[in-house]
Amino acid sequence: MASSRKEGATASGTFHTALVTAVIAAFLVLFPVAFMAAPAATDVPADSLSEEDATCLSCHSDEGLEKATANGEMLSLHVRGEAFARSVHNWIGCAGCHTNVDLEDHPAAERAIDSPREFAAQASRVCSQCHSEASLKDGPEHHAQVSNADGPACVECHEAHSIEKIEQWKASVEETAYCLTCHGRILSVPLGSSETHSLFIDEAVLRQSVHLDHECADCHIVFSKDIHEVRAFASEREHSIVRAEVCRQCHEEKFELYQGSIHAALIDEGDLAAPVCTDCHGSHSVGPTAAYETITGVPCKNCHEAVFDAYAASVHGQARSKLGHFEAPICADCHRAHDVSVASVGDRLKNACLGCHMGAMSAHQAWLPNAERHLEVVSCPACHAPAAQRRIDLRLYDSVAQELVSEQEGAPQFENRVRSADAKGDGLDAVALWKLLREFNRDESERKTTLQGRLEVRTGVEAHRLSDNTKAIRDCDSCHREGAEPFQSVAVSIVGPDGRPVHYGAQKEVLTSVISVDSVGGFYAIGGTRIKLLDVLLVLALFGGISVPIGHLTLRWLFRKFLNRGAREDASKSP
Amino acid sequence: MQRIYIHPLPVRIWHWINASGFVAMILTGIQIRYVGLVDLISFEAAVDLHNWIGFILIGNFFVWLLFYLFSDKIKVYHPELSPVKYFHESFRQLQYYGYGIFKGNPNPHHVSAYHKFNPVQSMSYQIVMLLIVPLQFYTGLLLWDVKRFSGTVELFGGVRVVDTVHVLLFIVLTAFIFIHAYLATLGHTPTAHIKAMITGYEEIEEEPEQNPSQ
Repeated sequence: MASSRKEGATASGTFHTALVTAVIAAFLVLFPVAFMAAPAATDVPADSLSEEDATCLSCHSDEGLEKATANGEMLSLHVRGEAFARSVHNWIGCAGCHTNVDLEDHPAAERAIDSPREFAAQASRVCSQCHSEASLKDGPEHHAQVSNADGPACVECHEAHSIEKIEQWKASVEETAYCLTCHGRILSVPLGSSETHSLFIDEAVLRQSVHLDHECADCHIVFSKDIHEVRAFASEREHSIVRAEVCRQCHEEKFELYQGSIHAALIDEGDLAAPVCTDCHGSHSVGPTAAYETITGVPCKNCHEAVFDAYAASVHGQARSKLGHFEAPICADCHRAHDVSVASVGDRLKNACLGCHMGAMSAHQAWLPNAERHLEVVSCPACHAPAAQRRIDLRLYDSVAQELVSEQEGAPQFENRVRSADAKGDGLDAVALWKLLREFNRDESERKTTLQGRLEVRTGVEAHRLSDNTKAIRDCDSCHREGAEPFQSVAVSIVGPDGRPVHYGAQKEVLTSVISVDSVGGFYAIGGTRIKLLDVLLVLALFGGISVPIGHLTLRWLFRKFLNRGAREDASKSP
Repeated sequence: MQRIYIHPLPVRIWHWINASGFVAMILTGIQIRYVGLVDLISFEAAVDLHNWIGFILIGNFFVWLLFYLFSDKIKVYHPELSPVKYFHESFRQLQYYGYGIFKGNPNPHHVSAYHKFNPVQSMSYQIVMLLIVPLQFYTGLLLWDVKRFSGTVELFGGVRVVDTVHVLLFIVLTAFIFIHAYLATLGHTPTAHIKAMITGYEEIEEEPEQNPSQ
């Protein structure tokens, strides 16, 4: 055909021939690459196989040929002759691998096979005759395979009868498909601990995630078709923490917010139970933001189960789950999603309440004296979680810097000082508390440590048991009377290194002692924390105010004869 | 008996508003501070009353202050500038209340329109009206809206410090009210001074003529 074309060549014909030749050449180059993995190639006919192999295929080319295994699954015995003829192993022939097939006694119907997977594992052992384990270990992509006896058999990834030259196959598949060839199967590696790390990726889940358009290497940038380094992790947790860096590549802003959170602080402290990105979002199943803002989908409940249960039963949780008010707040609305801070420190939560309940301040001002002051020193749940037990938290506060005092990392001054002040161990009394403050103010002229009192609920669980407004505490007497419940429990606190408050118990008398004028000057609840000495003074004043006139009157009555004599003397002096 | 006009109308109005107001403030103050022990009215109502009456008293205080500042009656508060004379007269007055009164001795202080207070009264009223009462109003104002006046409250050392001062002054004023009411009965009749504060006229016993030999 080429010579006949040469005979009729013209100038334009030469160009045309070159073009056609180029197209054909390109086709010949690209065709195998594009269709190398395609199963029904017809360029290498099955009849190119040996006579022995053709004999086998006379039965095994039947697509319906299969055998029941012991576990009830069906094992396909079908072999695509064309594919095998095209495979890199075609020269070996059927008997080259299936050395145990006895043609005199075939099929061995009575020979039980446990399962297709067991059969694949058994059949794959043949591979090691040529491909030794040592040679596989040289390729890091086989690390998990050779490290784990339960890993996929050779034929599960490479197929059995259509194995191509590996370079050709790599070039023919997309990168993600390449990864999923192995990672789409049950695959795991043992870690330094007794844990096993799963390497299985469910592609269906991945494609349902928000990252459906991403390829593996978009995130796993250190991996590719050609690079597959072996990494060692001491534990699953360590791997999760390192994995957060993968998320950071795209979500730097969120990562920075997370770095300022209590969760990150706990990780830094060595508390590896604190969550990282994948604990909340999953690794390959990352859903849209809305998926994490539902009663069923919110990840916080995985760790904070008791708190979440309290929330779910609260007015907010019920509004969502029963009334369908999806604008009702869920965890992240108050605590935020990434820069989660400690609830009982700072104004964030109060502001979160007032952020939604914008009329709350004016509503309180309509009936509550000193409403702003109340909202400042009384936490919202203290009244709006009416069943909760409450307490007074006396926070160490730097009135110069106008911030809560924090424990110095590595130097637990608070713990040492409170224990030193409370020698008996029965809680700080008024004198001990005063001494504690003095200790904090010793040699630190640049700051003035005081105590900032706050009425709050005792536990985080109780803080979430918010009721509707009709059940909120509105009775002033519940606080403004002697012996009121909130003042029966008192604690002194400092902000710990991780941002969480560190509490130490104090005796309730610290709120009613005369020393409290100095040590707890910033906190006072009329009636509830009144100073006993002033009560005594009032009684004395009343006693004096009543008894002095009565005494004076009595004396005047007793001396009435002198009174009369004086009057008479005056009269006698008159002219 | 001689009748001298010593209590001008503004002073009488101020006095009785002040007196009834202070009694009300003491009663509501006790109710506020001792819920459970005293349950005459609700805490909330007591606080509201206390606040309202407080503002009325502050306004009333300025009636008193402005009247005396802009009238010659301020002379009744002129202090005795000679300490020796002041202490001597005060001692005489206290001696009368503690001793002479039982013997039927005459009151050493002679009331006149511009000299209606004895030295002890003059000093104590000035302390009460120019120190204790204004300070009580001021601390009360701070406690009325702690947030609004938070800067000042912090300057004083916190709300507990302000409240403690308020309560201490309340205790002093409570004792003062009792003593003041009793002393008001020590006129020539038990109701003479009280009537005078209503009518403005004090009945003065006519002075016996001085014996030249004395």
